[in-house]
Amino acid sequence: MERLQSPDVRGIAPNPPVLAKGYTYDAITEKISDLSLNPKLTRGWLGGFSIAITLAGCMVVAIIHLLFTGVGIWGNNQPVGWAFDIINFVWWIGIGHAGTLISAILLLLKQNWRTSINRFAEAMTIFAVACAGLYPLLHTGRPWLDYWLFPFPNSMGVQQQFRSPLLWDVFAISTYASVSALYWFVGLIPDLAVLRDRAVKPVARKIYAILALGWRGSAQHWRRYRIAYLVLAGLSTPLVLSVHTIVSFDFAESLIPGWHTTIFPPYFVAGAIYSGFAMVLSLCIPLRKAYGLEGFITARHLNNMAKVMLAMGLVVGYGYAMEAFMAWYSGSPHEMGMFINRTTGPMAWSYWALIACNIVIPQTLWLRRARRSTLWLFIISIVVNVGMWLERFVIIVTSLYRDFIPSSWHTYVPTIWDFAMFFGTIGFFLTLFFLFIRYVPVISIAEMRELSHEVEHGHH
Amino acid sequence: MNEQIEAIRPRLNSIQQRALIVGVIGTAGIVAGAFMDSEQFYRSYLIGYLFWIGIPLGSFCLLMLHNLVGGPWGFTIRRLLEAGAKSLPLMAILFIPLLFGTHTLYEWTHADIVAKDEVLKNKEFYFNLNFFYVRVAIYFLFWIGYSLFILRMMRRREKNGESPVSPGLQNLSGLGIVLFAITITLAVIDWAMSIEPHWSSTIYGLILIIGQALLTFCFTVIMVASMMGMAPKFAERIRAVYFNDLGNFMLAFTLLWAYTSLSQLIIIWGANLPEEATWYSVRLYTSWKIVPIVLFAFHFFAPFFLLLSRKIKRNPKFLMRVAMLLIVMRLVDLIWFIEPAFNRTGFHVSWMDFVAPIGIGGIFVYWFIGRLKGADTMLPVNTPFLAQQAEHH
Repeated sequence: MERLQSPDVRGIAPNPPVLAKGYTYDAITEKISDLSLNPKLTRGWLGGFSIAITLAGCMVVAIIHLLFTGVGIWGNNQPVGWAFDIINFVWWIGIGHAGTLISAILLLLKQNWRTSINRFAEAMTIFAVACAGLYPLLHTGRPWLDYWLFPFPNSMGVQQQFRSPLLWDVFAISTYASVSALYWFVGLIPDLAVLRDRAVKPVARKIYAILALGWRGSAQHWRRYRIAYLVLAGLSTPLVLSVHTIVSFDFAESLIPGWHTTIFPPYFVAGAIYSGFAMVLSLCIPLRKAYGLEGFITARHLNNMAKVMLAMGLVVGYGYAMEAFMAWYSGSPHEMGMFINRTTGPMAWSYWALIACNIVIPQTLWLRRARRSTLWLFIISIVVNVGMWLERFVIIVTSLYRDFIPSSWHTYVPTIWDFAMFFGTIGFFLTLFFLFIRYVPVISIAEMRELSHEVEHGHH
Repeated sequence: MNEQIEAIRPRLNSIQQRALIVGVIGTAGIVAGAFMDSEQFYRSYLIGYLFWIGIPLGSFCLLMLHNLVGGPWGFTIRRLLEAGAKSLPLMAILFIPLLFGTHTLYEWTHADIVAKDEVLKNKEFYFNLNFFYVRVAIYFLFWIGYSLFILRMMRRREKNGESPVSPGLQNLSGLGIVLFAITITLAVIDWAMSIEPHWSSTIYGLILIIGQALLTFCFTVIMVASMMGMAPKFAERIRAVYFNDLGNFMLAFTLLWAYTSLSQLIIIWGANLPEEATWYSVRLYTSWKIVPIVLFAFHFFAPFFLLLSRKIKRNPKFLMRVAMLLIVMRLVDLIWFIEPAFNRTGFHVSWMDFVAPIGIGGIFVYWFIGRLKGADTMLPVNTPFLAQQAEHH
């Protein structure tokens, strides 16, 4: 019982458990698989899904209009040649990172509290990467030629610029998407087999059977599964760093004041984890409430995620502070001008809103009371999501709109199609998420059984 | 049973004595050097100083980090980290020689140069000697004050038989890490980056902080491994898995060092701006380029592959050798940071670049062992992890 309270060795006031008491293997299986097999079509799900799919519809309309008319429908101009398309790309990619961090890095660090949140965090990663990928693919203007991005032998004279981080992005993101999807799917196999065995409807059983790849749960299967899972975790780990590092190079390798600064790689990675954890909280707080999963996703999880968020927020704050300090220290009039313009110019609202959302408000997480309040955590998670979006807006737009020569200055105003696309991807993301909740176990059944064994019998 | 420090006191005394001898000889060497070539003396002293201050600062930050994240590895090395943190006052004293070398080391102290230089004039209100002294005082007062405060809190909890951390202590540790990150960054900008006052890099502080953490882990591994040889009962308590953890930390910080260093290089190389690229053009395109090759091979490549092996991480003797290699590489990295600023035409190291770190190191280890002997036990008492271990035995 002692261990149930506090599996770690710090011995501070007993931690809330990672799994509520009294969950047997059967109870776990039933509780989680029922969500997929015997779903009650609640008003909440239907309502949420309708809104989500309507927004996704906006995205489809926006894309069709874009394909017929061209990227001119966006607010991008000279000198702000990059705006919502890259802001949203970076925002979505960043959100994806928490999934990989939770599922791979926390697995390697033997943090057992990850078990109940890793499945949907991974799902979140894949959906977020899908949303992110749309933006650069569409921004090329001729998405049907996007395969030109890959270096393949051709007679067209198309050659890739291997020194450009934009090309590295192509490799980094496609690797990231495929490894994440594979990792997620491999982790799902035993659970899909559970659904296959428990499904009553023949069609559902057939589909789950195909997806379960003939899983029989033999010792040999488990052994291979374990190895595959661990190898994929090891492969995913460097991807957390590499993907956002390369995204940061997209900016940092250029000459633009406000973009070109060496702190970008670690600061982007921290920001990605920051926004990712915020999104996990935004999703899991309503989810656990709606489906009564408080026994699986406990106060301990929320508390730990809040702490990770606080730490990442401070790293991001270090990045802001260094940028400000070095803008002055460098003595470069361009750097200083950019910084003064960012903080006092016509778009200063965005900078100060960003500081409020990312730095000031999250400091409440120092208080245990704030970390224990589900409502407050939910509010903060939304605030951080907004803050991290603003961060990319500040970095991208406020570095560009005042070009080197005043005659090339131009302000930036997003058009309705920018917003349609942005909210559309949010709708697309949520649609996928609602479908995921409906058809796939949101929590890993197999891993929860293991956890319940550990919790009841101690860790060996 | 927790073994008393008394048991190994004679061995510690002999190490301490030897350290003192090395320290005295080394100091005599650099004092002689100071008379022969005072400019070189200050450079070498700066290198040695930047190297050794990494351990007390790193130790205290790791103590605070451990208060936040927990884990048996931290209890194993707690006494060493405490002794490290208690060495901060020594580092304050050892800073004094640098106060006399400001004119040699820092271009921004030359009024005639500053008068003609827009960039330096712009920074004059920050980079002037008086404010520099004030900042040095603030750094050390804060570092020493905060560390004494936290250490006292930790000791009181241990004496009273309370659990090692409380929410209050955790919050203070979290805040401490934030404040130390800021002050260490500002300090390395003052002491090291401003030797080339026209050059700046936002990741510079982070690279050096990561280097300090890595150095601290390596130093600690060497100390634990050698203490195990002295005290069999202590050695019984140190399970291979803790070395595995420490080895993993070494691996993680080796990777972080490589990651931050390479990021800085790629970004500056990619943009190729004259005011930034000069830093690398001296360090990569003259005969200095031998050093980054060595760094790549022995600060990253070799330790990375060695530390992947669980066999090496679980063997104190092997791990100790990897730690020694990395410690030497930390010094090489710092030499590469500092020396090229003064020798822009090509590779140049002085015998003092090695004698100064050895001399300061002797004094540092002498002091460090003195603090270590001040503790009663080799492992902290009243930690749940010890109770758990007792169950296993």
